[in-house]
Amino acid sequence: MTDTHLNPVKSGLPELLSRLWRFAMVLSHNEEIAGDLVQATCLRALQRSEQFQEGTHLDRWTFSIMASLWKNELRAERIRRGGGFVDAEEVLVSDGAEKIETNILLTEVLAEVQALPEAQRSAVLLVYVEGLTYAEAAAALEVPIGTIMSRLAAARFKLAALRRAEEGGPRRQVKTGQ
Amino acid sequence: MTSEVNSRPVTDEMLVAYVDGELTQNEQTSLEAALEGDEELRARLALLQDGERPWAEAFEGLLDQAPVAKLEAAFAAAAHTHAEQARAEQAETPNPGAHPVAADSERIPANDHASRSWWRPAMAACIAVTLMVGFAAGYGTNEVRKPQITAAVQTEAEIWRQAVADYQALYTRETLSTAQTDPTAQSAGLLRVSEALGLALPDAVSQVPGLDYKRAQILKFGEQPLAQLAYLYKDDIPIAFCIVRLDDPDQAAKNEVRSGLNIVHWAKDGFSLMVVGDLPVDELDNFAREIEGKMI
Repeated sequence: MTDTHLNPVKSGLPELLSRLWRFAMVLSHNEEIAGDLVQATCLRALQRSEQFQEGTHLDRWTFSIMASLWKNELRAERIRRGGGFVDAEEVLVSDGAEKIETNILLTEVLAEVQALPEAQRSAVLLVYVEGLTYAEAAAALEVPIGTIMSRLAAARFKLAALRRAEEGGPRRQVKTGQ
Repeated sequence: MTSEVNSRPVTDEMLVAYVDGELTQNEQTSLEAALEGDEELRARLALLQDGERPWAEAFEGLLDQAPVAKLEAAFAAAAHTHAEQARAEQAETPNPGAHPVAADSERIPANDHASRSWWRPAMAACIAVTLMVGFAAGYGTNEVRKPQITAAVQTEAEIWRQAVADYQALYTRETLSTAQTDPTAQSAGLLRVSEALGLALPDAVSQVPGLDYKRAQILKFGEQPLAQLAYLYKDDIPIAFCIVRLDDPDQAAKNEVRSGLNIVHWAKDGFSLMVVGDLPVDELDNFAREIEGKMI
């Protein structure tokens, strides 16, 4: 066995677990599957730790492993299990949400993002939440940069439409960033 | 959208890249020039900007909900499987320079995730998980090489203490480095855990002289909620105080060693309690007595 203390993947993964889980939740909408996905991602990352180049971003590298595992293996299993996709709002706001409940707006944002198609919400998470560049997100999701751009544009149009529909309907304050 | 490329000089992709600051200086300049004279383009830009949300802030909340203890366990299980695979590979390709593989080491098929999931909240899985971590906890200590295959004949309380000890053996000071130290959050955490457990945990249990309190969380033992309060001793050694309802008769504090860690355990009012950590018996005893006093 290689010396675990010198393995940057093994020593770096524990710090990333919550963020990996968050990405897994955005992909799967299901806490149990998200846990499986994190575990599978950790294992795959450890198995490939020789391919990791020290000095590069472990989080980006691990996100790409998770995206690939999800695309190629676990998503199929998710569908096979026949659970269907659980209502996003319910999953993301049910547990330990006392902190989130203090801000209805932020909860709404989560629900809005979770209602987007999977391809769009994974792009949103990686670029807008995790701060990856377009190029990094494209590499992680194994798609061309242009695809990331159109997914983000589509997501923004969808959310903008939601906001405008709200403003046209019952008055609600949803202005942000002011 | 791409179909619009021909009829429009600026695509939605370029606009979103502009909003996100992903255009080069030249692209940005020419796009801004195009915006000047094109109202329709400005309208599309405004629409894209209306799709802006406080993304990071909203998803920060999701981060707070991450089941940290379960994820640490999932990582430990992955690390264990990986170590087993590496050991099996080493055994298959003899290498004169390498350490001989212990004769009693178990060969575990190199499967990935599905069958060895750490995630099912069932009692059977809980015991299986105990076995799994039983190996992992032995790495580096040379003490616990064999899996705890005696689990089936142990009492529930013994299985519980073994599970906790195995789990605790994986903790390092870094494991607790991300814990919230804000007193309000800690107090709320204790309250949440108290409610899940059905036993009041006074704030005083977080104030143990000599121990730096880190966090409280609920894990699962079988179908029972298992409370875990984590402390750090001298900024270095993780100590845990764990409680589960097993409905065993009251029992005064006893000492034992599991997975190379000292344990002080007792039972009261249907709850089984233990303090565990890599400390000398005397010191751990003192902390356990202190904590026991605060629970009354």
